[in-house]
Amino acid sequence: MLTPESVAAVAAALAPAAPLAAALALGAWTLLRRAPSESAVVRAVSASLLVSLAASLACAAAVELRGAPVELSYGPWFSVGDYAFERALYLDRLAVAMMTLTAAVTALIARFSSRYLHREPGFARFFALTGVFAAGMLLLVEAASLDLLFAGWELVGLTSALLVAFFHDRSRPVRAGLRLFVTYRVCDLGLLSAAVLLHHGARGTALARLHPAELSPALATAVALGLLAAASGKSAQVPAGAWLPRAMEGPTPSSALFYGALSVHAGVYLVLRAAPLFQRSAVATAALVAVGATTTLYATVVGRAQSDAKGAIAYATMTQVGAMFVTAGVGLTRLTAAMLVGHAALRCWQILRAPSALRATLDARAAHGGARLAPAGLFARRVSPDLARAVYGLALERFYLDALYDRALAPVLRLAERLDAMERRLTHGADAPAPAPRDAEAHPEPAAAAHPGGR
Amino acid sequence: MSDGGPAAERRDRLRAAIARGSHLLPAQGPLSVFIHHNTLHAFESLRFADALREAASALDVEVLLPEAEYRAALAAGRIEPDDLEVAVDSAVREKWLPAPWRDAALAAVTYGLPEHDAARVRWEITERDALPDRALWALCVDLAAEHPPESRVDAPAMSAREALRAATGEDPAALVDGVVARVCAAWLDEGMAHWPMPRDPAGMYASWRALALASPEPPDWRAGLKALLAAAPTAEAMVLDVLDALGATEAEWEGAIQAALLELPGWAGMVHRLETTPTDRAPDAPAASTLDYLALRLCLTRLALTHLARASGYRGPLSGLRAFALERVTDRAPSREDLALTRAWRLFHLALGLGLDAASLRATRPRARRALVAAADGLDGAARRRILHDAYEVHHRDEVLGALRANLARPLSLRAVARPRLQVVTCIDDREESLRRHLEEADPELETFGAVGFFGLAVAYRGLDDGGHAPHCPPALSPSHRADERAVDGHAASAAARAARRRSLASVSHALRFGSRTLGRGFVLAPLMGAAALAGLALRVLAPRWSRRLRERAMARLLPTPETELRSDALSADEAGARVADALRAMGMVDRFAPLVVVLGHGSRGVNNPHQSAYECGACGGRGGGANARLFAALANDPAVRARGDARGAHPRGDALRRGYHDSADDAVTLFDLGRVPEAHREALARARAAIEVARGRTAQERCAASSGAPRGLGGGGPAPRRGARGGPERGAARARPRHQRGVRGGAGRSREGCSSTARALLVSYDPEADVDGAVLARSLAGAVPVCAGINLEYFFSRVDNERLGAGTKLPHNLVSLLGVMDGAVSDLKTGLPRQMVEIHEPVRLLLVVEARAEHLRRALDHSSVVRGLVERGWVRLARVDPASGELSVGSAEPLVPWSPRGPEPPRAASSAAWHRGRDGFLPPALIEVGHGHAHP
Repeated sequence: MLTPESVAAVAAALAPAAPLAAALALGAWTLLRRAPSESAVVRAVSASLLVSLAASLACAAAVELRGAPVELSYGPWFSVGDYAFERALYLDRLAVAMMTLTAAVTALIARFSSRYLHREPGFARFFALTGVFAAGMLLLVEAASLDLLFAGWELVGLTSALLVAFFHDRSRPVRAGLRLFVTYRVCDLGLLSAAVLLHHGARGTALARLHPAELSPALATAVALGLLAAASGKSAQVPAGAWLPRAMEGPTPSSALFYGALSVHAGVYLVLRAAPLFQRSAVATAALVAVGATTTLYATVVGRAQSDAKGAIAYATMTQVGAMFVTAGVGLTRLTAAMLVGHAALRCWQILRAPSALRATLDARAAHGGARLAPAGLFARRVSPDLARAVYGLALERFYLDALYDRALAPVLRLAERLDAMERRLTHGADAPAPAPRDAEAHPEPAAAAHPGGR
Repeated sequence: MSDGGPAAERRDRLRAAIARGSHLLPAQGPLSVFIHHNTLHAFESLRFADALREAASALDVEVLLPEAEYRAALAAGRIEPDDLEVAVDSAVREKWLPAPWRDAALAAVTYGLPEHDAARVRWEITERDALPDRALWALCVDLAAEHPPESRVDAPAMSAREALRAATGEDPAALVDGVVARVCAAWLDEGMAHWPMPRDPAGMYASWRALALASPEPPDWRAGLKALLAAAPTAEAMVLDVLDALGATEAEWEGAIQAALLELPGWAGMVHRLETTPTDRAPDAPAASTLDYLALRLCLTRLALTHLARASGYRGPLSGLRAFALERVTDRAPSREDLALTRAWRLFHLALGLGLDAASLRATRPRARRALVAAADGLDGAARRRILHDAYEVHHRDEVLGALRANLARPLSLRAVARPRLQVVTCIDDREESLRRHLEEADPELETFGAVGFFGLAVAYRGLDDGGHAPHCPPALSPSHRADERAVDGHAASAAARAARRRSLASVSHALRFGSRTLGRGFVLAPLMGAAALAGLALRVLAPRWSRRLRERAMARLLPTPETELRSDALSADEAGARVADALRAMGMVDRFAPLVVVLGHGSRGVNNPHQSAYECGACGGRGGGANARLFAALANDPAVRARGDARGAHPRGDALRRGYHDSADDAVTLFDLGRVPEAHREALARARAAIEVARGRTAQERCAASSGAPRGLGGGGPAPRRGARGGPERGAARARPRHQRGVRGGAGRSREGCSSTARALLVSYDPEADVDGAVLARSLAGAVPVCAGINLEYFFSRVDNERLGAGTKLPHNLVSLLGVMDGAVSDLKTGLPRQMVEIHEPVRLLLVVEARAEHLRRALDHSSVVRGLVERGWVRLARVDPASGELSVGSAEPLVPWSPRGPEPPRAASSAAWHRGRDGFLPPALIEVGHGHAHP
């Protein structure tokens, strides 16, 4: 019999499975034979995303009909001794809203990209990664346990880094992708340790089934702080967030999808999911609010000084995502959820139309008889010129956040270099070749410029 | 200024060195007024081939296609074996290729020579067993050893930066680039940032210095910045300080400055351009100064060099850094053995290409053997590509001239319209060429003309919706008059209402755009605007045409459309009459006027495209050409003007001109002022509209077919042209299309309608019989050739090195400061054309085909030193058709040499559409059988 649960069980599994299958098929085809034609690529990925969208809507209908969250179990994932990791999905209103948003926005971006990337080398790669991303994001959204969420979380992080480095014949995108990847990996340690702590302390990581009241405050704090670390990495919060403006190296549609719409909001979603945990721990809540508030102030000041279209939107995104951390921290979960959805759609749209800023400004100026429209900022007019200079100078340099990281990382890098040298000595003997010089940005290999990489 | 003291003299010399050192910077202005120009304009005083070589080494760019592309063209028949022979022979004739190398060169360009290093050669031999003839190989090894290379060119001296990079793998420029780009973007910003840079009236350096001194010391490689800045209060002082610290003598200044500027050519070029051409921007825009830029760049470079020097253990003065780093460069030249091996390998492949075996090679005379070894050394990639490119161009030239000649051989009745019922005048633009050809095919009594699209009216135009006057003329001219679009009497109120509403709309959208980015306003606005954004995104992506129509309808309802007229108060009737008559006579329109003449301006209404200006009418200064067409028609119809024009002997009858507008984004053609067409000409009008409807559909379809993947739908017998036309609107409306135009430029120009063209043609009408003394030709060429050559050469170089001379792919472009685009988060400013504009372009130099008497052509070249320079130095290829005999001649200097056709007769087709059916990409010109015989691609 068709019950809301049985429909949801199929649909919820189908939603991430369809784009993943399309992406894997595309990848296998490309690997074994050759890149399929553009229209075949688009058809495969778009069809799978439409399946996801339909499945998401079915899940939403099931949740509405039932009037309560649906919990779906697909049996144990794997077990160690008598301890089983279960494969379970959890659909509530927040989850199905995010599923629908994810599937809809990804499908729209895929449709947009089918023209935008026409004849681009890497067309198939882009769509395969989009499919993997959709699967990861949907899995992240509907996972009941942190374990499954972690799998989706990592898929999102991986595709994110690979798309930032989409133009891999230039060194800057590759470096930005690498930096993003490392930031994610470090921050994801928080998610991993949160899961481990919950397995030990609560015999399970299903957030909805957790009764925070039963957890010790110390455990709740530790878990929540771990989640906060992961969330602030993914959502570009201070201090981890300096990667966001640099991530605008990929094609415009992927920037819109990841850093306008979905990926950058995954941290907010995680915080919302774990809201009961945060409520249990005053320390974690304070940290959440502090991170959000710092970010929002930092980003709004820095964002004002940005004179490139995508950079300005990146900081605007950071500003509002920081604000969402604050609203989530003070317990306004519904407001935060509403802001999340609206904000994701707005930034996606703004990044997609970033190239039209020139025309928009010229038109606005023409409508005002050629006059420049006054800048909207008030800060600079209220404070002394010297203070304005100092703050502007810091904003232009983004408060040297990157440089401060590099300083903090320097000992780690030195250690790594020493280990590398030691390994070389051990493996190659005395005639160890020197490490290859890093290729400079301004001088790509002529061959790479002449023969852009294949699909 | 100069007080005569030694310090002041030194500053003067510095300024002179900066002026010379900035010579090679790209000259592209802000994107809002994109003007096509020769990318290598700085080298235009050299012959084309020499300019390419110089540019390749000075700018570190590619100047021809990669050899593999030429080889693919060879395989596809785009270059044929006898084209190669022609190219090699002309290389021998021009003496850059030694005559004994002829056969070797032919083999080398036909089969290629391996550019393998020694390790690869060893691998090929041992792992791939790539030696079909071991005896020959052994002989080649001996020969290479016997004849050492004739001369070795030493690598150019390394700068401190290059030496440091070679020694440590760290590039100081990579540290500096990001900061320089960010500061320049902030200083030059035209309204992108919410909070403009606090500006010091003294300029960029002073402002940056004040910022840096007010903020804390940077915690990175820039340690010591504040001390350096404090010591150098002016940009000049900073530049001199750094040059001294680097140990540069005054003789080395120019080189050091040029190197510093060329590290980020896009930004440095923009600063330089804005400094030298302040009219590119509003008068209140911040001043740009190359000196300021240099002070910023050199100050940071000094810090970066110091930082990297410390990191590699050097603590002495910076002037000694170069020597220190050079000692540590490990990447030495290949060893003697390795060099011998690679030389033998090339010789071996050359011998194989020549069909030689060991015995026959041994049997050749010593002198020939020596020549062969020298050829194997000398026919490097650059030489082979030069020959291949010549062959590529020769093939194009001969195909076009062959078709022209075949067409000229046909009777005049097949080539010209005897009694035109309708005449259409368009811009010479290649996109208009396609429309013209289809128009003429659609209606045999329709005649078309091409003129440089400002129609001889260099005006500063201000439309009803514009904020100010903008020049509507080629960049070489400056507007002589103003023209204004104003509401006619009785419509002033609605015009005022329109302006007020547009102002409010602009204020609201400005407030929303910036407000949504801030903290407080964004908090409220973001969720609200989000819903609208999602709906907008879905609509725009899923139904682009429908959404555009919706938007247009909403705007039409919101904004009243007053009836308007053009006024050019200062232009007297005498002058207007003269200009109209001149423009008509230049096209050969002196009699035989049709009852209805349509003057068609063109432009492009793309969205979401920072390069939009590059798609508009280049002859109207990168703006829409509709205004010029309108003014021309209005003047020509004005009885007072006509009276003056009649005296000069050329004018259409009565109120016969109508203006139109061709939007090349969707190939929509709109005609205006049709209400006044007299009853007697209604039929002509109806025919015109029918022909235009057919032609625009076919044009859209043809341009779609030129790039694969666009809607084609030519296969079936269905209403194909409609589909082509439908493919168009999406192009204009959809945000998702980085390729807004399918048209391709370059190729051939020509002098007279009724002969042949290619889809890449820029057609200027000219009637040699009506031009008694050649003055018309002289004016015509002086006006058109620089514009056409600029377009052609910009496409050429953007195509051959899209990363460095073009703007690269559009996908990661990031609009910055409202001036240009960067790749991704931060990069150099990308100049030139993006890949999506040039990828289907064939890079060949403009082939200027002029139908005129020899003495008229000579006079025209004497008239314009610019045109003469372009032709004689080979930046433009010239061919002449003799109007009397139809004989063709080609060359770059007098006397031209006679040209005769090679190869088969050009193909024939029933119509352009038939010729295109089922094919895409470039097609060779074909003769069209029906109508009045147009050859076309």
